[in-house]
Amino acid sequence: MRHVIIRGFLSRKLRSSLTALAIVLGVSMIVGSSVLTGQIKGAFDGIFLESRKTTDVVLTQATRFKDNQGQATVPFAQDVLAKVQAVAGVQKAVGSVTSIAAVPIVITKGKPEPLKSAGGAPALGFSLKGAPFDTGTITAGRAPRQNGEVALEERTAAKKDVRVGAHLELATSSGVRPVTVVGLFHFAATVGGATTTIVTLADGQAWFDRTGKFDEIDVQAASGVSASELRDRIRAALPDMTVRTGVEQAKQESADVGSFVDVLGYALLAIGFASAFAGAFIIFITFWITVGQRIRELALLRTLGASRRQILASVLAEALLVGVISSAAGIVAGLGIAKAIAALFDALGFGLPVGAMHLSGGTVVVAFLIGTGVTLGASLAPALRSTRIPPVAAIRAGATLPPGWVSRHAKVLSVIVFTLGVGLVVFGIFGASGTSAILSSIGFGALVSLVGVALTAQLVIPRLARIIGAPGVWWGGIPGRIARENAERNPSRTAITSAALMIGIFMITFVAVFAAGLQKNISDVLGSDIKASFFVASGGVVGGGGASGFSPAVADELRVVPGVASVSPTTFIAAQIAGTTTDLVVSTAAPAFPDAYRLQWVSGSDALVRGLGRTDAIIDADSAKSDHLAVGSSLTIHNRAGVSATFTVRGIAKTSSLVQGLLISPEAAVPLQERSGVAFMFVVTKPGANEAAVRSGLESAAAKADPLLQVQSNQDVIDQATTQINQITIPLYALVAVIFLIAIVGIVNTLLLSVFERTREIGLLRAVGTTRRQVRRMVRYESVITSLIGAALGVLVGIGFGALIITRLGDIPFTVPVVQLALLFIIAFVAGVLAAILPAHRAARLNVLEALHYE
Amino acid sequence: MSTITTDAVVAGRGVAKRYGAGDSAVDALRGVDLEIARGQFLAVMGPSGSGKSTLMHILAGLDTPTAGSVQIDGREITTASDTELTLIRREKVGFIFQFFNLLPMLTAEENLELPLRLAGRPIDQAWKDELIAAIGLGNRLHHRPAELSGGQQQRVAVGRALLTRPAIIFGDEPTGNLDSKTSAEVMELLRHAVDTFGQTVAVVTHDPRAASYADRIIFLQDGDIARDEGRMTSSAILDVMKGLE
Ligand SMILES: Nc1ncnc2c1ncn2[C@@H]1O[C@H](COP(=O)(O)OP(=O)(O)O)[C@@H](O)[C@H]1O
Ligand SMILES: [Mg+2]
Repeated sequence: MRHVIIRGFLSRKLRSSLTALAIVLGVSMIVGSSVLTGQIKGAFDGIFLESRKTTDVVLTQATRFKDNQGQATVPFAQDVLAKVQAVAGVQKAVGSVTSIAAVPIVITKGKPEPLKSAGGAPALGFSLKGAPFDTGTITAGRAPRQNGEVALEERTAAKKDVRVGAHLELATSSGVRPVTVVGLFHFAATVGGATTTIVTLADGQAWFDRTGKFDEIDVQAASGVSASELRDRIRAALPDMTVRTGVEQAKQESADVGSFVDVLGYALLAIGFASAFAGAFIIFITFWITVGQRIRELALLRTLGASRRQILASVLAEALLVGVISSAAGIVAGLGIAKAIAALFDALGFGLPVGAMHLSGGTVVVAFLIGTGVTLGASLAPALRSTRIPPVAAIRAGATLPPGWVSRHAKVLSVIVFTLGVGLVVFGIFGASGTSAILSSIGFGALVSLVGVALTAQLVIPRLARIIGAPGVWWGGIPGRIARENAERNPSRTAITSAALMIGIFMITFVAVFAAGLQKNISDVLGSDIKASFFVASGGVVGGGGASGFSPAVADELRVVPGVASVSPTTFIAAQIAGTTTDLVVSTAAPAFPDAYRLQWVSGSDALVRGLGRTDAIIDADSAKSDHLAVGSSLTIHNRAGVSATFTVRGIAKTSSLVQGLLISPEAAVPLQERSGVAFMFVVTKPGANEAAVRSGLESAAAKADPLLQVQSNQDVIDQATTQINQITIPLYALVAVIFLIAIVGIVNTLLLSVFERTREIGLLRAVGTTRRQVRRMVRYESVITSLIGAALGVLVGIGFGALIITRLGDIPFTVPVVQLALLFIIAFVAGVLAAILPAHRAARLNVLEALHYE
Repeated sequence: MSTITTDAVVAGRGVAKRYGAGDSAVDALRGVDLEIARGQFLAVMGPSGSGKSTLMHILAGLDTPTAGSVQIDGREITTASDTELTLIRREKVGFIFQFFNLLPMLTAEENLELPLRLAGRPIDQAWKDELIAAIGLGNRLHHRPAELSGGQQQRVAVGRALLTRPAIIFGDEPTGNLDSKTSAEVMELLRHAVDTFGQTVAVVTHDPRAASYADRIIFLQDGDIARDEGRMTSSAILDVMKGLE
């Protein structure tokens, strides 16, 4: 029996290796994503540990809650330093400040150019800490000592050929200042692509909006005092601060970044699992058809005394062999995939640090389990089917297998499976509670429904094939007709073969529906809420926006531009209502705000905003409802550092993009703001003003104030948002391409098997005068019909699920991304044509005589 | 159930087979009684569609009759489970078919040993060598079926059937695909097995020359035995056949 299995496997080399390829690709995606995630995490661990190597204890401000905008630290008063220094066992303690938006600007030929990676890596600013806390090593010049002196990280400096002695400008949230590069330094480990500037502490406090404040205090322990001991002593002395050892701090920082890496990892893993899932369909259909074609061989074995169990074992053993070999190959290929994905991200401008490649035992085990599990699982039904082959089939020519119980009830079963899957998804979206329960029921439900769709599809395949095949019949005549009949005559085979493509197209459609929704949301908001003509923001509204911030003083420069009616700066503050854990976005509304932004009043009027007092607030309708607030209610809020303020609700406006919490006056916001920079400014033009002229006036005024500022119209913001959305979706699409590859392999495989099965038929067609070209065309049409069916089903399911989830989220509108979907059909068409090349060649090459004699 | 006390290797009683139902029903066999004695070389003849193949399939346990009983070596097979049937096939029955006797991916030798390997039984090397000599395959043992002639393939099939020392070997047109010279070689080989090893053999054939090697010839017509004869010359067989058509 072993002979039969191994020899059989070898004699079906092409189909075995095509089947294996489907699994290899799936496994390699899973391995690749987990290896890459590990590499990135390892790199971050290394970077943060390296940067805290010489620090025993780190103090930061304890925060009341996490800001989901990503600002890590909250500045605190610098007098904390004296208290730290007073703790016994402290050898040395230094306060420092940080900026996540300190952009050096190189003036080349009179034109300012920011020294910043295009891919969105941050431009960081640090104040010099001095020995032993600085981890960079000066490689040229010296560290900054005086006002206006900076040192730059050597690799970023080299990009624009900045050397020691160069005169640059440094843009921060408090304005732009001339600086001199006095040194270049080297970090043992750098976060890929980030620009890093070191300034003196005094400059940092002044420029980074930290006057009298620190972001952290680094402590060196006296000899004989351990880091953890010192940490405990400082904690006792300063209970309001977060106190960690250097190693703990590094781990925390790494974990903060790690959660982002996890999201990336999950996305990659989801694609990996989807690939393996797509592979399962291909394994299933290949084994199913193969068993059908091996009826005589298996029946012969039965007449020679093989038991049902032996037949079952022989089919399963072949699957196991395919599974094990392809899992092993998939693991090796996965290492290549990890490299390829890293290169893809690099090429797209996400410079992620990538550490040493490490293949964990766990990953290997999981890869083997998934690879062989999927193969065995998918071949179980065909294997069981093979045991029903009667021995007498060895003698009766053209024996076919009687349909089993499952086949006879296929229609009902497939509808049940589909309903079950959709039910799970709906439960996940509307019924489940807890993120993991929601995600797992949606994910598992999607899986089950896709199986259901693949099974149910056989009911509609004849009709679908009729529609999709119509142009082929019209265009291709008889070969077109035969192709359509072929696609139709075995609906379940066509359905399952097209399922792999359906999965890929489903994923892309799903993402595309979301992306389209996000995009539409932005244009809707800009169209309906915004009355202002222009936005001014550092790096553009969606580019750096809230995080980067810029000097509020810019407003004065913009107001004097001819044609400008009003300028209203807007700032956002992360806050919580005291005594609750409800996050609240607090925005500032300058008196001119109602001219720039359309407020839809539930209670109150624009006049309220123009006369907003220090303790007055306007609340959005949704928050008012959920927090039981009405006009006249008073509420206390606090920011992350715990600074609180009490307001009285004066008006209620309908919830909209900028009104998702409180609107307060700019003066009232000052004590609550962690930094003084503004997110963006609205510019309203005078009626009848020449917009183009105003724009160029604004541009030159903004450039003078801060070269990073961008003047944007509504359309510019939409375009910028589109670019950003594409930056996320394009790599996803690129990775889903792996599933397309698997789908093509699947179609190739099924067509090869079909061509083999129809050897006689093709011989007959050839004998009665069908040309080779016509035979090839026939196969090609069938292939294209199959792939287009996959595309149609994938798009339908993708839109359906997208609509369901978007409806549930409620934040973004549902739109059908028509252009992308049309593109998907073109891609599916091309996939069909590509998949047909080999089978068509095979079919055309058949020798007519031999084909007719074929037994 | 009463035990049959003859030395019949295979005994069929009132074997009937009806295909389909209603108006389109075909009675392939109409209550055939047949016993095949140990050491007998039986040929089953008859016009096309007379039920030869159906009878053989049922006697060999490959198919079930609509009515009647069949015993192989004293064991009732019409009511046996699939597992019991598998075991009976393994131990009691050998097969030679017209086409597709050998698995294409195995060598001649591996095909020869296949039933014993499936059953996990030891191979009697001396017996195997004797059979290899008898089937005259010599140096082609390690060739694949595709590299063997039609006659060689059938001789491997005969050797394979003999290797397990079955109670009976069934052949359905084992020479149907061969020219007269190779056909004679295969029939001689079967004759040799009956004479020297005492093997019981039953073959379906429509070739009078092949049937002339048999000890006993039964002629089927419309699903029943029309004549049951002893050893005959091929011209005598031809005459009977002409009379039946
Ligand atoms: N699977 C089947 N379904 C329906 N009719 C059959 C089937 N097999 C055989 N028959 C019919 O039974 C009769 C006997 O067939 P068979 O035993 O093959 O005859 P022979 O081998 O003598 O040519 C014929 O009329 C044939 O058409
Ligand atoms: Mg016959």
